[in-house]
Amino acid sequence: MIIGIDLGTTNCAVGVWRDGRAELIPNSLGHTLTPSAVSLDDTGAVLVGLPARERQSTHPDHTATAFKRYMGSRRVTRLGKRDFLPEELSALVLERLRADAEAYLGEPVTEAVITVPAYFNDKQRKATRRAGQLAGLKVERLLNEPTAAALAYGIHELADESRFLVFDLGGGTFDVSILEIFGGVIEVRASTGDNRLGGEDFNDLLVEAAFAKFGQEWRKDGHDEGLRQRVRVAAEKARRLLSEQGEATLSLVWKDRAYELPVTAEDFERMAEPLLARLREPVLRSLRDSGAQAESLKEVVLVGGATRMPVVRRAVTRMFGRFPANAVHPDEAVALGAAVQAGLKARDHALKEVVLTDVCPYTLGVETSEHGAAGAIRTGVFSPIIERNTVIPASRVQSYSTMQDGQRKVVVGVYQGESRQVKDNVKLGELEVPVPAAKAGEIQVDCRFTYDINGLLEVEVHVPRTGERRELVVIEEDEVRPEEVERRRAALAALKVHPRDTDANRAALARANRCYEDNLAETRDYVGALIARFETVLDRQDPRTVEAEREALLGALDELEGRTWL
Amino acid sequence: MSSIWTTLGLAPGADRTAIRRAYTERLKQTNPEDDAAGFQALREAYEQALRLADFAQYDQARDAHTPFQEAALEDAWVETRAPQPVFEAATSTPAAPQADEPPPPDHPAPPPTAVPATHERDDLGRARLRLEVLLHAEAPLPADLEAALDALFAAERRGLLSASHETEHWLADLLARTQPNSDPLLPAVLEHYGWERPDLGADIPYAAHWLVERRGATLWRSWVERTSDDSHKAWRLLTGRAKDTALWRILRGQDQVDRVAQVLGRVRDDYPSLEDDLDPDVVDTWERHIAWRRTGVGKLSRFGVLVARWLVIVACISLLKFGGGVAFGDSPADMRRRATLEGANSATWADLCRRGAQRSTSDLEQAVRDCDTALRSDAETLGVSESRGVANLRLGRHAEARADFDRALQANRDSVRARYGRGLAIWLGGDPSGAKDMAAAMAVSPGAADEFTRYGLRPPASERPRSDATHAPRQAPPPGYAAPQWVEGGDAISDAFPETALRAEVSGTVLLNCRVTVDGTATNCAVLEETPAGFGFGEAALQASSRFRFKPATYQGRPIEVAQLKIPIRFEVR
Repeated sequence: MIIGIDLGTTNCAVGVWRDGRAELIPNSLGHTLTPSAVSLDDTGAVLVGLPARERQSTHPDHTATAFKRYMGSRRVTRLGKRDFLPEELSALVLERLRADAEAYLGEPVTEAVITVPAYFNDKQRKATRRAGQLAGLKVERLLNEPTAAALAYGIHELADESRFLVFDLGGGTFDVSILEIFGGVIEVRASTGDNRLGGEDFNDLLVEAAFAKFGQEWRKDGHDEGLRQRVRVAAEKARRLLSEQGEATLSLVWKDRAYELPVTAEDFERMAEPLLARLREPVLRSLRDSGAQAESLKEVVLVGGATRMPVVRRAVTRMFGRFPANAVHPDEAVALGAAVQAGLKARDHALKEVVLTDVCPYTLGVETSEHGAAGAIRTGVFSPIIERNTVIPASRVQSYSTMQDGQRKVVVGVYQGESRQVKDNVKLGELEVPVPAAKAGEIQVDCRFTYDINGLLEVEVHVPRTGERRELVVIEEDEVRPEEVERRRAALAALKVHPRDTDANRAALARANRCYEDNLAETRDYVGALIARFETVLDRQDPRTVEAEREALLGALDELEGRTWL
Repeated sequence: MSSIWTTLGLAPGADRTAIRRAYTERLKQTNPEDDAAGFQALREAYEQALRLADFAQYDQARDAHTPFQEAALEDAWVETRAPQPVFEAATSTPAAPQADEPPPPDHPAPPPTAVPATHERDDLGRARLRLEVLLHAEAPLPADLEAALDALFAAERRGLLSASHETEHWLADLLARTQPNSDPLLPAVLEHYGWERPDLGADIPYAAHWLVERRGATLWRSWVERTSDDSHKAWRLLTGRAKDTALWRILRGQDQVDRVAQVLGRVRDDYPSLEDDLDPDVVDTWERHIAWRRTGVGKLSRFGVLVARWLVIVACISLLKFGGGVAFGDSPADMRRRATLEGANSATWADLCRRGAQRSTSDLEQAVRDCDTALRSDAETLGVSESRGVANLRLGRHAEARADFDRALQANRDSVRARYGRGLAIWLGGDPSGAKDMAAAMAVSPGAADEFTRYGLRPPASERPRSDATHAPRQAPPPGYAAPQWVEGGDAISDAFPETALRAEVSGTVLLNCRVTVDGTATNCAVLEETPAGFGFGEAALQASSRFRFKPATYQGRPIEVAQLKIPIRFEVR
């Protein structure tokens, strides 16, 4: 059984294709969304999901969230005494999702389709794949998130011939895709985005507002991670309330003092103006790249938790002059699409007639030099080989020649990006090939770029004169060898992880502890009493009373602070 | 060529629909998931076949057109923007719904309209007009320009995506045309659209590349004008007066020539637009200097520079004393000096006037003065007034230009150049009736506009037609009524773009009134308004209307005929 995983910045979800339809798999708490959070408790054991997220403000040094933003980098997060790479944190989350799926499906799960933002580059994709391997999953396919969302929507629209736009504003990234459906083919026409824009940026607006207001009082603690986390959580809560009502209060407790900042929906919209303006550009570009007119789109499909915000929906409505579609659940679409892709991959007979084609969302090419005016040589000129929005898999060759008499080697720098200057693009790697000495321009060098369906790049350089070949499956300075992956996998496996069935209790307890710190005076005493009572019950280890007590505790907390959101 | 058709299993020359069907069928066998190579071959064949099919369609369309259209299609660089018809439900009257189905008494409230209200689009139109007028003014205040730009951006942000896309292209074009007036706006505009951002690549409007370069150029220029280093001196020399005599060649120091060569090279490599600001004669002179330095004689002079300088100075002084025959070159400056010295005849001044009017902007003032000198000796027959008109027009003095062209027409009624110029001067002066003269000139000689467009002189982009209907009080559409939706016909409008207008780079608008039938075609069309008249926009719109396709209007879900739909059509030269 192949599962489909939406490995999101704030939340993850797992889906599976069964009995001719995609369905979501609930986690140990019965939720379909699992927060992308990892925390180590006092004993050094790992907590994943909601219990970990609840510890975010109470144990900032032991909790990690939003690590997807650093995927592919060597940035280390220190939790307690141990260092983690972003891919290792992701692996811990994936491991837990896999366990959930196995419990639900009743069979071992070893293969998965994992979604990535369309704008993820080669390094980020490879890191995601490694995260899968570290979690003991064979990653059958890396699927672009907007494509997955489109699959979830398009799979019900196969009969029609239509064109639509998927507007995916997630926690950390913004993707826009234009898709066309005809004759059972779902074709991605263009995929663009802004990989530095997401729901978190909207939270940050409120965080900034809070710091602007209380900055004086917090001057001493300005860099305290605990304070930041606390404000961030309060900001997110206020932002979510603003989606439902005209005004909300950002409230938090810090060093036994309560702070409150009332915000109205209008204030928020004004603050968000610059962010909303940034939504336009990628939409315009995707329309241009696909040669489509905004009027020719059948639907505008909104995906991603951040599109629940009324300000975003209004901005979209203003852009297109019509209301966006509500056909898919914004949080679940990506995982459902990944499940559809898993079904495609497994050759499910219900999907036999469906084919998906995707595109490469950025331009790939090499660094070249050229003769400028007056005989000067300009270096660092980008020469594209695979153009943005080429249908993948794709393979293209481009020929270059030597620049100087007697040149003995050619260095091929591989870049990703849209600028004419390589210095403004992302360097993916470099490769060197020896050439025989000859006059400038006499030796030809062929570069072949092969971009596979998972978005991974292979470069082959060939010198026809000598038959010399160099190959690179891109080329990381920090290429990770299989033994290394195995070693790290073993190290992760050695970590103590709390069993799934205690998740619910841990989540409840973590939440209660957070609630304790979030409140003052009598409320705090009340929560303290609730915690003490629940801990006593836990010690008795009678499953039935534990469950009843847990429900009672959660009910009491709900009354105090409203329902938990995911 | 045949292999792509074999790959698709089609006979060569199949149409789009067949190609797409063949592709989808084959794709089921050649899935990209497991046959990468096979899929790539199929995909390449498919894309190639689609291109061929589009090309064939294009050929057919071309064959069906008059020779005029053919010429237009070959001028591939003249792109026409797909017009964006705007439908206003309120101005169209749906045919009466069937009597046996009265609207339900408690029909649900219509959904709040998401389409921006018309006044928002009008805001954008007004903001555009305001900016355009300012940029065409003699010396607009930067503060006014900035305010107008801010208003434009604000209106754009409130508007639809399609309008925003169009505005971007329009603005790029406008700024490129109105430089140097537009120079102060460049930083803000480049920032707003991100034209300098690397990841945009080929998406940005064509004119924007030029503007980015121009922005760099003005920065560099202001730097080079402020500093006191060597490049500053070289720049001064390049922007100064030309002196090209054997004497000067030898007297120039080698390092000075090198610096000028360097600065000139920099301008040409990095800031080509700055060369337009330089006097071509000065540049010419310097180029000859530089070339001469590289010859044997030039090199020789490097060695014995002191001796040579002295020798030549002495020689020149004696030459001056004896013959007074300083060598004059052929540059306008030299001609002018010779003409002044020798009391030359009017033909020389007329020549100076004509040549000046066609030179770079910095020469135009001088050209007008030369024309005046020529006119004083009655050289009207030599086309002096015409040239003076062109120079004045380029300087933005529309009223003066008009007077010049009037005078030229008095002398020679058949001058196409003067006729076109007069029309353009009137129009640029704010009165679109100038189009009549322009059209008349174009009718005689289709190339009449070419000289003017080369200087960036073209009529202002037109505004949306203001029909009385759109200003009349609105009647709310009956509930359950949905206006017809535009489906296709943009190509038809581009295809029908009148040849004369295309050559003169004149944009136009037409307001058509059509009946839209239940099968989505437009019939009984009539032209309500046509701006400007005389270029055949009305006729072109009528011609195109036969190819318009609509999603018919619906009343309570059933398609109905709309008796009158006002369709604004915009022919816009990009």
